[in-house]
Amino acid sequence: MSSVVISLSDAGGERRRLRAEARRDARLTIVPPATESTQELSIENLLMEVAAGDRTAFAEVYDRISNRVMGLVTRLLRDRAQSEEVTQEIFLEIWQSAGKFDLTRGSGISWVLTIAHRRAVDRIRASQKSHERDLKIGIRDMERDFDSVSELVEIRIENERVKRSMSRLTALQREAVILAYYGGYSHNEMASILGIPLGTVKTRLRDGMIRLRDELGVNS
Amino acid sequence: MTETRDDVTTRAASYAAGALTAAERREVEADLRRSPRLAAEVREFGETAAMLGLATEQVAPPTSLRDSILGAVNELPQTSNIVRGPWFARPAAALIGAAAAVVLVVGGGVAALTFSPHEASGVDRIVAAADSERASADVDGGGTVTLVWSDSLERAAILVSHLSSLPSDRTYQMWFINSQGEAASAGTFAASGSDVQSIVLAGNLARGDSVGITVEPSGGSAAPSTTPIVVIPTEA
Repeated sequence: MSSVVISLSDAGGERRRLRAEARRDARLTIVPPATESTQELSIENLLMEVAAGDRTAFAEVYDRISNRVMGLVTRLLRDRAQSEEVTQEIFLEIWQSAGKFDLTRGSGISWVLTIAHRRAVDRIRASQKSHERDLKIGIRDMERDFDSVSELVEIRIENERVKRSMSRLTALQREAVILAYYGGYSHNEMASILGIPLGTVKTRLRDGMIRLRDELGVNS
Repeated sequence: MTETRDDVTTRAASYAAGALTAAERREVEADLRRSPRLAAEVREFGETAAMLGLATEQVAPPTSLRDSILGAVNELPQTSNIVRGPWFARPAAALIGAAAAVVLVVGGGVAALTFSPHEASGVDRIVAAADSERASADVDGGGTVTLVWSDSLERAAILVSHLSSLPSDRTYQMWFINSQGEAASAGTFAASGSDVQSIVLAGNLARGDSVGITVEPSGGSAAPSTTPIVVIPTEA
């Protein structure tokens, strides 16, 4: 653990880490107050309370993950106003369909981000503009996306894993994963952007996702 | 014909990465119950995709968005349970043909309609969509309902006129009804009696859905408990 470098832009993370350490130390001697333990409910538990109509739990879910949701949506849509609109749709869907959250099908955050990604992609595809995105724009977006992914993972310890895992993909697999997930492109759009057959797109994306899954150690 | 392991994996990976069209996505979701292997693969790739999602830079939404969402939730019933109602099996009996359609709103009139503040996608967007369609029906007991929808947006709204006001312990509730006759709540509304109202349905319209309205206890029901006063199909 000798060479953990934390850049200036990770000052918030460092503060959080120190705070977490302080809290952990404090717990060795004192019982945490009741409000603390409420805050520490997992997203999964909170979603189950939301499913039972608990609006306080819903507000807690919002406070915990709205930055994440808005971050993903903004990456896909770029447009700030649209991203806010879609973020609202996403949280209303979370409220309405929390009863469908099923722990056996995956984690809470994965359920939420699946909804978020789907809503953002639907918005992209509904707009006329997206159908006019051509080869050049597609490639430029892709390069920018990968650059910013690389930048991000430099400063965040948990994303170090994502960066490392991404680097284990072939360039073509990485391109497919980035175009699909961060670009919101469908199979067909990707085939036309890259000028390759549909079957090839599917195979590249599949193999890239398999590699990522294995590198990230996601097991059933 | 059975799917090979590769096919299942390819579909699951494509689903999680978001590369499927809306129709393909629904097919995968329908198959999840039938295929434990597909479900397991979707779960794994879903967690993988979530890690990609968490690697993006966080963006703090404005406080106004939080207020708006928490405010909306106060009025929005959680009625996503899917039920099968035998009376939905033949919606054709309740609908009025296009020839009898009453067009409530034309051109600039749309702009004058009021929108509920919490609706994320307004009637104007649905009406302005390139594939926007509409159909109207008279309501048993008086009034007219016009459904406007866009398959590409997967959104629908109703324009209501002269619908009877209900006692305070009752509410109108809207439902998406699929071809199997399964109903999913699309929210509730109160009729003002005379004015033209527009209400955007909560949730997504799937191609071929019908939209029905029932009278429910105030707050709404998880499943329709009365016969609909009107059902309008989006496909002939």
